[in-house]
Amino acid sequence: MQNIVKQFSKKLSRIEKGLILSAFILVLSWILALFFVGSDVEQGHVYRILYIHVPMAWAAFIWLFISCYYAILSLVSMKKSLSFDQKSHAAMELSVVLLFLVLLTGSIWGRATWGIWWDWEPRLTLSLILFFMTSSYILFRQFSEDLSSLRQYASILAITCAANVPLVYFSVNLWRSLHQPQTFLRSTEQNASFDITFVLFLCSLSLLLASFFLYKVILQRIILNHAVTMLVKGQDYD
Amino acid sequence: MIENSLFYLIISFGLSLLILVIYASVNVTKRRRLLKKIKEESQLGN
Repeated sequence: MQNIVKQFSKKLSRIEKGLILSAFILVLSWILALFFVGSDVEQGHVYRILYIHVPMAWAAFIWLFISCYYAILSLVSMKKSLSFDQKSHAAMELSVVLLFLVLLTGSIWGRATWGIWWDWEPRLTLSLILFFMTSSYILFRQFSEDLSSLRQYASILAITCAANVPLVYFSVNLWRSLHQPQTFLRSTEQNASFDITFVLFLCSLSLLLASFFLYKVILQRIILNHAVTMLVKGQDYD
Repeated sequence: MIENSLFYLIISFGLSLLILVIYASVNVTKRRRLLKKIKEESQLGN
């Protein structure tokens, strides 16, 4: 057990260094966005919130799909079910945090541009529902007592959450919406240019989230190993 | 031009950074407490 802990400990230390590096690059891209990118004619400085809001929305959807992918593998695979389930859980946790940030930054942007913090229009409402669904996954895992079927139910919930992503993404096309259409798919001259700041932010955010994911997976493995060791010794595990 | 646009921008950047830092801190603290607990238990066992 000690050897396993030492091995995991070294991996976690390396990932922590990766987290610090990616956080540094992220902050650097934010500084670039704040001070070196010009303001918008209509929105002023506020349009720069899109540098956070849009990549985080993409990242939230991508990590939801990753969680769904591992959830499917967990249901299908007999041997590695636990490992895939841990990865699905870690990915879902990331998407919950990201969805919260998307709703928060979107709300602030909406206050600045539309004059309201919230509106019950399709995109926002479906995003909120998706956030509640993903949060319920986390709560379910935390408070479920039926451990034998926990993995199966959690996997099904993860797949259901991911199935809602296309609905959220295309809601601006399907219904009349206050929310603007997809930022990079519009064919008007209002398309945001794919400048270096955005790309830098996207890359640093991806690195940060990948580091978080690995960190969570290894942490879960340590917790599981510890729990198994305690059970073998006949002791209670907190 | 939207008034107070810089204020909203700084608030959104600041809150996003704060939440990411809190999330990272929670996980790092969890890891440290867990490893400390495992170390103490193995020392008691010895």
